[in-house]
Amino acid sequence: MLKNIILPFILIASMHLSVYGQITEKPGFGKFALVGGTVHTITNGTIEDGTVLIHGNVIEYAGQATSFDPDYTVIDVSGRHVYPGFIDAGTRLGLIEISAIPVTVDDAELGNFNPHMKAFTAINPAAVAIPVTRVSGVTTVLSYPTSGIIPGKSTLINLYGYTPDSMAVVQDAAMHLNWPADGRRGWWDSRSDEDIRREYQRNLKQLNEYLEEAKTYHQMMEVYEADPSGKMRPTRNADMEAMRAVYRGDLPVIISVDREKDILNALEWIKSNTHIRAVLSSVAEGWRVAGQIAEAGVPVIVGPVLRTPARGYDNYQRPYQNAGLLASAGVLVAIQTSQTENVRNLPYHAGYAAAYGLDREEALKAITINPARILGVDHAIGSIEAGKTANLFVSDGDPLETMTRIDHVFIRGFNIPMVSRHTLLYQEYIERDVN
Amino acid sequence: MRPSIILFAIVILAASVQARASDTGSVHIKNATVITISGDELENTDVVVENGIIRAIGQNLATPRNAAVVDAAGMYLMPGIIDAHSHLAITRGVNEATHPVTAEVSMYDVINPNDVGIYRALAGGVTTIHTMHGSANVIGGQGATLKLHYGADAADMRFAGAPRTIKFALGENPTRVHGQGSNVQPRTRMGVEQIVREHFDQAIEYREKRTRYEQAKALHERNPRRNPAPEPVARNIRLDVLADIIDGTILVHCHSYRSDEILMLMRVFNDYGIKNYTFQHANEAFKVAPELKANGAHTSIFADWWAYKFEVYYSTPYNAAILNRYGVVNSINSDSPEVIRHLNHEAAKTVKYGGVTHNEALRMITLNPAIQLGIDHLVGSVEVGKQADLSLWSAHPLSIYAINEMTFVDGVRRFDREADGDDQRLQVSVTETYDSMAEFEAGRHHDACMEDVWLFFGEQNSSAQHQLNSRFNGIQQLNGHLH
Amino acid sequence: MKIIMQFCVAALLLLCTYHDTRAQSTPAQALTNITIHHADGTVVTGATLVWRNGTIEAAGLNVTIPFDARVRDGGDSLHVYPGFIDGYGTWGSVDAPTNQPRPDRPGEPGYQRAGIQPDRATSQNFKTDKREFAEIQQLGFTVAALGIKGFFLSGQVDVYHLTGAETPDNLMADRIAQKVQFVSSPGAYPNTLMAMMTSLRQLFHNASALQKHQKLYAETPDRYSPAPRDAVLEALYPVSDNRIPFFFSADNREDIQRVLKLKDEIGFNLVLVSGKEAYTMADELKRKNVPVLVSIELPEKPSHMKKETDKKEKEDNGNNQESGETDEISAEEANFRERQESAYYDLVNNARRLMEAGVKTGFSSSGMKASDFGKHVQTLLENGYEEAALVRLMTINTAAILGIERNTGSLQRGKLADFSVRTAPLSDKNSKVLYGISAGKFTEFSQEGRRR
Repeated sequence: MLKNIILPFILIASMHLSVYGQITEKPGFGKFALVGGTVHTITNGTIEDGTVLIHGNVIEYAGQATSFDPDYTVIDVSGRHVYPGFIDAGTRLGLIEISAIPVTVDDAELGNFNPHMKAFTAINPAAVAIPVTRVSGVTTVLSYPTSGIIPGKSTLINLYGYTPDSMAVVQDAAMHLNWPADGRRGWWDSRSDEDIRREYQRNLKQLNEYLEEAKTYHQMMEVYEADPSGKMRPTRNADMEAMRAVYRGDLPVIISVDREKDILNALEWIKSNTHIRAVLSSVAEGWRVAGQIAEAGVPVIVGPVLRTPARGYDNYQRPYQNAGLLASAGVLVAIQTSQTENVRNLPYHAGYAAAYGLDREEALKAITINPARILGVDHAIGSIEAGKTANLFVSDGDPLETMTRIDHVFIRGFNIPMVSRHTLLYQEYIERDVN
Repeated sequence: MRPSIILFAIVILAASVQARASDTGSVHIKNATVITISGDELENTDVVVENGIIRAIGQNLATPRNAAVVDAAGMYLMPGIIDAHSHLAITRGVNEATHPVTAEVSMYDVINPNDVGIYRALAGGVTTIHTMHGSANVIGGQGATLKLHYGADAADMRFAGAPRTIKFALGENPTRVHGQGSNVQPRTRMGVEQIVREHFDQAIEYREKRTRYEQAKALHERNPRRNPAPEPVARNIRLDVLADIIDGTILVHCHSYRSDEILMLMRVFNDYGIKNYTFQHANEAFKVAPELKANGAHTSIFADWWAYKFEVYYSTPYNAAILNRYGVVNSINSDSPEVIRHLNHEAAKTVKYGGVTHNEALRMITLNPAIQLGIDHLVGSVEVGKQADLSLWSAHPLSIYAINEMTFVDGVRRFDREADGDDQRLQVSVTETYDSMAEFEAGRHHDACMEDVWLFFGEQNSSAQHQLNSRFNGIQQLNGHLH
Repeated sequence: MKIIMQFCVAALLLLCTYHDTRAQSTPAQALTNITIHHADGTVVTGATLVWRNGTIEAAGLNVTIPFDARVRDGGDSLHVYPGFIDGYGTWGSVDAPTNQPRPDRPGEPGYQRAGIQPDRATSQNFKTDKREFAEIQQLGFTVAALGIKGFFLSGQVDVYHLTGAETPDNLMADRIAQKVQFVSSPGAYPNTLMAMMTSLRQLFHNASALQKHQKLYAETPDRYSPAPRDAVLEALYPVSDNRIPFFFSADNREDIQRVLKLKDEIGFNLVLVSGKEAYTMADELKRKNVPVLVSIELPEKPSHMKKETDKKEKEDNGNNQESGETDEISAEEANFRERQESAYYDLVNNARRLMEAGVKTGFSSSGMKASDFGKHVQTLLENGYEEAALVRLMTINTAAILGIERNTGSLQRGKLADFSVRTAPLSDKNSKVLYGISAGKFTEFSQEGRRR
């Protein structure tokens, strides 16, 4: 009885708070059975008329079983499609609230070399863009810091949770490295050609020196830690210490790089450091050196796909074709938006890649299992398989198609209410009082 | 063989720009699914174009003499896309950010017909753009409505018969640039209103004086002895333009976001009797859809941009659906050299968010922007007698897999994917290096609306300018949404 | 203007005579056994040139040398050219201001801050360092139309005889034009190209109204309010009255179209200055009778072209060591290079195409470095320009555009003694100017200077 009175009250209260907080309604949690849909497992083909059982945080079963315990809440998804939650392997979601207001921007620390910075620390679980994003089927994002040459470590988060801790798939997912760029950064870059070249050389030199220093530090520490007896303990250095995970190969290093020759430079560095797990990201000109990237066995996180061609004489289709050309050269490809508030458009970046040459199944992988593999979490997310985290969604059609709508989203097993600021404003204003 | 090499082996290296090709503007497009916009979708239908005009729509039509034939079986023909908000093809300065009112400047004076972005827009099915002054000023410059005749001179890109337009801007941009940046009014939305009213009043006064002078001058010239020469009143271009706005010969396109500022301008315009205007961006238009409808105001919005600045924090991609529900004439625009490449995709988002019909969605990138630019009697739908601005798609244009195969402007094939080669630049710089990426947009929509404001501020040091400049520093570029 | 000119010439003559006070009458001067390269292209060897009081008395063969002539023997090795004329330059000008403070109201900055300064005269704006005059004299120039470095409307253009540090004293013709360029004064209205376009129109509206007002008030002061004075607008009257032209700098096709559009609207007389891509508009320039004072400044050759040239030179020198090495480039890069190369040659061929199209074409240094002149001339000569055509461009053609062709620009009896004496023909890479004679004033260039 009490419950019956309080529940609507809570609902109303949470509706009011929704403008400020992430939670729009209480999500359901427990045991769910999604029945009758076409299940796109990504890793194990498509199951027609399938059943997916969710228990707690995990997928318990995916197959064609028609009978299961009666305590599952059954959701009829016949005629619908079930996909693993999409993963955007490059965003700033949770780090930036409003990009024009500096006090709400936490993706860019001062300084050129900040490997000890952790994006995880600055994730705001109540960012308004989080519900906006997850109701589109993007359930997991890599949020990365951006400033300087080594901006710090990104975090991989599921888009539901009250604390960064509960959201994190991996707190520190990768080290980020912005490869110094030779060339104009964009229309607004008014530096002279000479200044550009000088700055590039300076940055490259700085980077090389820093990496050498960090490597030396790491080797020194390895020796000391293996047998400290009789040795003076070297002074610990926070940022160098952070780099050790890269040299140890514990932490992938995601190198953001666009230009052909910069990519080749980065590949050289990767080759000379055998233990590191390197990933290239952005790679606007990746298609120009797809063979070399494939040969080096380095995976890429391409994107955004929706961008203008890099060079004045580039064919207009190149940004769309980039992912496809890399994949057909044998490169493991994931796709990112590099976005904050419009990470929800991730499937369309994949869609354009698919329209312009990337195999459609590969396009789906590029936003599910491939980023999971690249980040070393494919045991947990990226496909619909028993035992994996229950990140998935139900759509009324091909999720890469713009007009397709998402009906249900599960994140970590939570049945996410399909509500965000954007839907609430719609509901409020579609039938507005005129007076 | 490396894939990039294979690619180049396939691609025709066409230094000669296909847009230069002479073309009679006559074409017979056969067996397409014709999305007319103004009427039904017609299957297996021919469209016959002669000298740039649509002459016939129907089945089994005869091919006129000299007309090229395009077999469009399995393809979709729709009107050329019209972008009501662009800053493409502008030379050396989008914002004259020195004064809050610069009605006297005109984009027609500074068209750069060599912008390769024009070709890229054509590749996305766009045939007409409305290229505008930026949003730094309360009343910016006059816009240019252009047909994308890539390869023609600036003067030949002008959309013949298109009415004059002008850019207004409310809210954060003008208050930041002038109030914060230059320490002159307006610093607030209150100030913005008064800037508009003060200048309108000045314009009315000027027009009276100038008209009186011209009348007296005419009398003097007829009979100098009886009518002494009047004391001259110099023509004032700025006030002339403002007076023309009040007279209704210039269409206002107003950069705006918040509902309160939208209401403000409608009140001001009602006071001065100004009609036929469009709110650009208008992220909060959905909040005042009934009022917009009542005033006959139009809107031209982004499909889903939000949160890049405070005044778009409380917005929703359902904006289009709500406006549509209340009968407001709404278009979807790009404001970006990147988004203009896929406006069909942007239109499709209105179906996703709020379920507008396919026809309504496509209308928002064709007939509705044509209405807002005053050219709907000439373009915007596939109808006999209209200009043959058309795009031909491999699939239904609202599908993400649809690829634009051909774009016709006045019947001339300005884009043909089959004949598309690399390097469509019209101009080559002698000093540019081969791998220069000067044109590169890192895919993040930069604030074309606020372009060159920072140039104008230069190395100045006030906090506002510092903030503005920091947007453009190094990696911070990633945050460059300032529309 | 004619009166001014005569006055100037007289002043010059006075100056020239001043140096030789012992003589009762000014003695003549003569150069014998020289090769004269006339402006019309004829070349006369074994010739004699006689001048007195700054004026040429004779040039050619069979010349009787006056008894009082000071004779210099050219020894059959010296080459005399009519003095080159710079149709527009900013030699000796003060620099345009940099880092100007922001105006309190950037939208109403005032004429000066806006760079709208047609009231400026060169005579008031020379910098103290006068070395630039000698530098261009040493290139063979004797006359230059000079303007002031600045922004949008930078000032009036005046013609000077180049006489080293004394150049500012040797005004030949003043206010022959007003200088305009699409260069804004940073941080002030008009700041953008579009605002400069409209600004110019508005200035003419204002000037026209003010001029009328001033006239009415002068005629019947009791009927009208007092007309204000405005030095800037008044400086535009000669342009709006079509007494003098705008010298309007523009290089690319679109900018030239903009200038022509303004000309059509406002109705000013126009001389296009610089015009590096003016060939693209040659027909229209000819039709509208717009002369061009063309810049011959060329950009650096693209590096791939330089490499080609180097390789060729090495091969020509019998050095085949590197000839086996070929650049492996993609079809895309080959196309890029090909287009860039043709763009480069379009610039090289600009002046010639203008002349061939029948556009009145003269020469303007237009901001070029004096030290680069020889390099650019050589490039043009290497690319098929006739030496005679270049000489014509820089002498009589430029004189005609400046309206001084009756006084200078060719080596004819009665014209001013403006010429240079070179060690070899202009087309010879090692040709140096030994002497510059400017309205008879003789300057000898030191060996040291030449070696520099």
